Amino acid sequence: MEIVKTTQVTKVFKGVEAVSEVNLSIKEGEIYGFLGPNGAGKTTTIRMLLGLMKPTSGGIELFGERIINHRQHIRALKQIGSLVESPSYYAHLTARENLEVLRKILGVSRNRVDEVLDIVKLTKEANRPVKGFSLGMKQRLGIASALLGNPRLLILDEPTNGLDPAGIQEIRSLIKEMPRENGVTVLISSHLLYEIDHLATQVGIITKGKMLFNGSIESLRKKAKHQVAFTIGEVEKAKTILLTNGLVPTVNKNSLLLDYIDHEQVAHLVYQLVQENVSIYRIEEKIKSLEDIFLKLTSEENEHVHKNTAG
Amino acid sequence: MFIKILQAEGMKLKRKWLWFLLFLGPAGVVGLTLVDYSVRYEYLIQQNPNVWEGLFHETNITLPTAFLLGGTILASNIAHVEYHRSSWKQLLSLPVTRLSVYTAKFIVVMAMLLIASAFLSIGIIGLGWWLGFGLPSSWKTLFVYNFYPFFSAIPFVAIQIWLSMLFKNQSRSLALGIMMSVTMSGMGELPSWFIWQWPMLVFSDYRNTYMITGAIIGIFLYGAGAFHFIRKDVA
Repeated sequence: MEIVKTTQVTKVFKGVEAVSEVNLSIKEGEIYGFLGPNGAGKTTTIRMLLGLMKPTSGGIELFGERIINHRQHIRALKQIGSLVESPSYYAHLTARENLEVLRKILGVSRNRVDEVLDIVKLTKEANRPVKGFSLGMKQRLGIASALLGNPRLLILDEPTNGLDPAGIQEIRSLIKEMPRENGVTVLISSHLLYEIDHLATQVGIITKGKMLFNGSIESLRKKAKHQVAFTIGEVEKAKTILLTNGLVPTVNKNSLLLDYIDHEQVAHLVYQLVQENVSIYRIEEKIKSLEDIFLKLTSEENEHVHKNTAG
Repeated sequence: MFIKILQAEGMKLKRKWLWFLLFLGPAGVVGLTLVDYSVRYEYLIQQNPNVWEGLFHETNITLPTAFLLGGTILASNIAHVEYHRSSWKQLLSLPVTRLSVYTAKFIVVMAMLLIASAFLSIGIIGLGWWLGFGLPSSWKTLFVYNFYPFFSAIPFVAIQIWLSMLFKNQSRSLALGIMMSVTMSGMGELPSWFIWQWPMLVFSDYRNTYMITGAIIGIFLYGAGAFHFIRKDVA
C-alpha cells in the first residue's frame, strides 16, 4: 500500500515554481531518501505533505486517501510524526515538559513520554530546560516529539543537519531500527547522499523543484558501475575498432569511456589498437561513487536550466 | 479536544514572567492612584461628592494605557513563544485545526486580561478602604469602571493578536500597540469609529455602547484574523 503519493504537485511562490510537478510514491515499510541540494524544494514538498502549505496545483494522497480538505489532512496527521528543519521547542521548558505539551494535544498515555525519552537516550536530561541542550540533544528531542504519537509515517527533514559525525551515526542507527521494529514508514530528506546511502531503500532526487530520479537505491547504484577510460592518439580510428568489437564508447576529448569490461577484454582491445598503430597513452579504471552520480544528476539539471534561461 | 489545546497553551506559559505582569499592571495603577491621593488628598476629596466615583475617575488616568500596554505585551508573547524556536511548524503539523490554535491563543490572552482586571478591582477596593471611603457605594459602578477597558479594548487586542501571529518580527506589532496605548488619551477629536480610542472613553455618554460594540467588533476582528491565519502558509 502506498503511504504517500503525490501527483504533479506544484508550489508557486510569487511566480517562481519552488516545486514543479513532483510525483512521490512511498510504500509501507520503506525508508525513502529524499535527496537534493539546498533550496531544491525538499522542505516545501514536505511542508505540503504536512498541511503547512497548500499546493498551487496537483494532488496529495496519504494512507490511501486523497486529501481534499483540512479535516482529511488532520485525520492523516494523527498518523504522522514529523521533524522539519531546525529543531522546534519551547526553550524555557524542560525536555519532559516540551513532550508533555505535545502529549496533551496528541492524547497519548503518560508512559509514552518516558518511552520516547528512552528511545532517544534523553532520560537523564529530561528535567533540564532545553535552552541548555546541545544541538544534537535538541535534534534528538525533535525525534522523540516525532515518535510521541506512535506514527505510521515518520517525516524527517534534514534530521542530521549541523550534527557532528557521532551524532549523525546515532540518528542514523535510530532511524534504521524504526521500520524493522514498529513497521514505521520513513521519509527522510537530506542534501548529502552518503548520509542516507546505507539507510534508504528507495531514493528520490530533486533539483530546482523537479524530480530527476525516483527508484530503488540499487538501481541508482547500478549507475555507479566502474568505467574504463582509454586515453589515445586517434580517437575516431579507435572508436571504429571498439565498435567492430561490439562495444559502444562515450567520447570525451581524447579519451574513450567504456562501461565495465573484464581483464581479457582489455588485453584484447589493447592488442587490436596496437596492431592498428593507435597510440595508447593511458588506460584507467574510473570509479563513480553515488556521490558523483548525485552531483552529475543535479548539475546537469543546473546546466540545462542555465541554457534555457540564456536562450 | 479544545480543552487539551487550551491546557497545552497554559503549559507553554509555565515559568514565564507574564504571570507576574498580571499583578504588576494592577499594582502599578493602584500605586499611581495612591501617589495621586497622597499628594493632593484635600483637593481630590472635594472634586466629587461621591468619593468612590472620584476614585474611579482618578484611576482611569492610568488604567487604559496600562491595560492596552498589557494587552500588547501578552498578545506578542503568545505568538513569540511559537516563533522563538520555530515551533509553529511543529504545532501546526499536529492533528489540530488552525482555528482551535488561534482561538486558544485568543482565549488565553483575554483570560489573562480578565484576571488582571479582577486584581485591579480588588486593589481599588483596598485602596478606597485604606483612604477611609469604606466599601464601594455601588458594586455595579465599580464593575463598569474597572472592566470597561476589558470590553472596549477587544478590537484592539484582536488586532494585536493577529499582527503578532502574522509577523515573526515582534517589533512590528509591539510598535503599533505601544504607539496606540500611549497616544490615544486626549484624542477626542478622532472620529468615534476609531476603535483604538474606545478604551479611553469611559467618561463618554456612550460608554455602554462602546463596551457592547467593542465586544461585537472585537469578535468580528478575531474571526477575520483567524480566517487569515487558517489560510496562510507556514514557513
